[in-house]
Amino acid sequence: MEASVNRIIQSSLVDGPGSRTVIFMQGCNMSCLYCHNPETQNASPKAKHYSLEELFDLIEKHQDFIEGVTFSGGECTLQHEFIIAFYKLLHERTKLTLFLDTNGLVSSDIMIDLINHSDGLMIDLKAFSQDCHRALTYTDNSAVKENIRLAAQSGKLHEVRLTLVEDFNDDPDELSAYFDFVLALPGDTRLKIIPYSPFGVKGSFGHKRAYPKEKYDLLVAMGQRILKDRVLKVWYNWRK
Amino acid sequence: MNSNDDIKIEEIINSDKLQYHEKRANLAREAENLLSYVDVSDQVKSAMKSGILHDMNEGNRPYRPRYILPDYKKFLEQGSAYLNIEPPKDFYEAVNALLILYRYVPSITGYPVYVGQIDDCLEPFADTVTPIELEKLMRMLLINIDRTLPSAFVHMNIGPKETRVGRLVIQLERELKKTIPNVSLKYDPDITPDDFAKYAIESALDVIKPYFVNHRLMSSQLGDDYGVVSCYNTLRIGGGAHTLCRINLKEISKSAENYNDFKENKLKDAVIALAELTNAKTKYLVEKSRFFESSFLANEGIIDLEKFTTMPAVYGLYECVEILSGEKMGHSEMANSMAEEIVKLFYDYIKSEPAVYCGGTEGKHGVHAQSNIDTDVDVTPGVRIKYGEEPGVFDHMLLSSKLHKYFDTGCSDIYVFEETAKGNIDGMLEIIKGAIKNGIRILSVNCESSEFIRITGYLVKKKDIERYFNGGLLREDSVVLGAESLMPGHLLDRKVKGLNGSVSK
Ligand code: SF4
Repeated sequence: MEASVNRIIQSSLVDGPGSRTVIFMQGCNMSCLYCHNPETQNASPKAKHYSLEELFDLIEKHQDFIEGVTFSGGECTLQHEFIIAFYKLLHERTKLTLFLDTNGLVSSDIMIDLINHSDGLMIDLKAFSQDCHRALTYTDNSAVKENIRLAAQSGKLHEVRLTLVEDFNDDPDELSAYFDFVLALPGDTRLKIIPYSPFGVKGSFGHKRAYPKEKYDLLVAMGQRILKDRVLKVWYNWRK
Repeated sequence: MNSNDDIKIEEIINSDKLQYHEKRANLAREAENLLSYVDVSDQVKSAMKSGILHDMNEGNRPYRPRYILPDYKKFLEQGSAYLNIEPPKDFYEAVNALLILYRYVPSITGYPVYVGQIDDCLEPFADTVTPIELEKLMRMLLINIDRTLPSAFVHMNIGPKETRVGRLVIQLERELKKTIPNVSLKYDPDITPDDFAKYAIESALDVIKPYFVNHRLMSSQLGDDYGVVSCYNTLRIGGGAHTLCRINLKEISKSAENYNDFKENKLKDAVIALAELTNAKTKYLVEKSRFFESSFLANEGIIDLEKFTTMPAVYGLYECVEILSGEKMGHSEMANSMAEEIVKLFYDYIKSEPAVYCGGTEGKHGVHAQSNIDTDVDVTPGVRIKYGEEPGVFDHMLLSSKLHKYFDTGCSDIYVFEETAKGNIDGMLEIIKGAIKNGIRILSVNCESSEFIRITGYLVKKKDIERYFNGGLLREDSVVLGAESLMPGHLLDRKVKGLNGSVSK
């Protein structure tokens, strides 16, 4: 069994709890307009292939420095068999944890299997209304919402992630429905709100400006009124 | 005196750039260098000429040790007859006594490189004042050090225990955002509470201070009474270093026919010359200039010759390995093992050379990785990886940990993290614990958005560097050093560690 990997970042402090190594899997089942890793979307001759043992060896030698690994992408759930096998290996031989960073677009059977073979999940809900989700990703979000509910029920949902794109998914009505959805989830599911940034984005969206700070603060405040401290803020100081 | 000397001295006296005390220091150096060099063999002279051996421009006739670590705690317990100071009874008197003594501690720069294990010194007096007074006094102490000892080699130590004084040092240094003093936290995961360590990490990501010192490793080699001084030198409290001379591994490798010739002959010859020069200077300092007989610090037991040592050093390992193997440290197993082999060989060679007045490291020379000076061009500090060529941060740390263990008088690496590190202090603590567990000796974590930048071994404000290049007057001698070493060392290329991964999936 082999994984197709776009790249590995040894040290990340933003992909789940603690210090983690992130494995960006090759291939995706969405085509988001604002994708920051468009090179991961399709199969690519540049992708590296790792057997379970090869990947394990890479991770194991750094185990003193990390709390675990995060599979990201691309869309990691497309390679669920590898991930599940890797989870077993990791738990058998180390104390490291395995997290998934996923767009949630996967059948519920596979999602349940992945929930059982991971320690935590970060799931994107890229837009609340079906229209908006389609416009942004060319896919439906009903499965995504269902999978978020499943993950929340299991207690392993680390956070839901929303990237705010100006004039796309930041309409107040759209957002208030989004916040209500998160509020109704079982457990204290947290919502991370990320401002859009144009870096690395290809196509028409590459010309879109970075999300303005005042608007971001306003919408975060709106989220906090509904979700209280379950809203997580991320602000990148691009203009250093 | 020849007319060249006349001109040099006149230039100093008539300079409109130098302050009075800078003129005085420069004049003293010129006077010292009017005398001939200490007696050394022709081999040493030719090694110096060829750039293999370097004496760090310490001067022709050493008359004070390079680095001194007064036992400030002892001083506070016994007072000083020479200074007519009684043992302090409260925090006010203790701070006053320290500030007085600082003015009497020599070093190669003229300013003390060590201002004490400040928590051990002052915590015993903390109950003699109210918490508000305590903070005020600590603030005054730190500002006084910054303004009266304007050298970025001034270094203060805290930890591994958490104390009120230690916490205040971190809090105030973060708030005051000044360069001086450097602060090192002795860190031992079994003694230092996580909460205190995280407080220190938050500060380090903001203002680079404190650095994290592997307390368990250090105390196993030097005992508990060690200090971190100047730019990452580790020496015994009450002791210090007579001198620091260094060999340029890059130059040595260029003179070698092949790796074997390097190992068997060229490195060995260089180490013999290094030891000879080190011993000659040390003997001169102790026996001719009679520093330890004349200094009141020695007479009153605040320093002790028995605790001093020497610091023969290497630098340029990165280029040396590249020349000898054709491969890059950090990116090839072969280069990595060659790096370790060279370092171990240096250690074995220098430890078996005769040594004088090295009681501080059990009668043998101390071993040091020197982190460059401003005139170095195209040569990487100590045993570090060239700026911009670092591998992934954990691979980097694993390599450092293999090399650091040989340098009992100091070795360090700088790891720069992205700004996102500030949002995940728990993750940073895990990384630091991993580094310590793997035997990294001293690490400084820097955040790319920090206002400060670590030049090879010391710290300057980015603002001051700009000011220097725009011709402004600067108070700190090391800012001048720093601004110049920016150019040759390509420091700003330094790789930012951490992530550049997706911000949205
Ligand atoms: S799901 Fe992620 S990787 Fe896939 S297209 Fe969207 S943003 Fe890109």
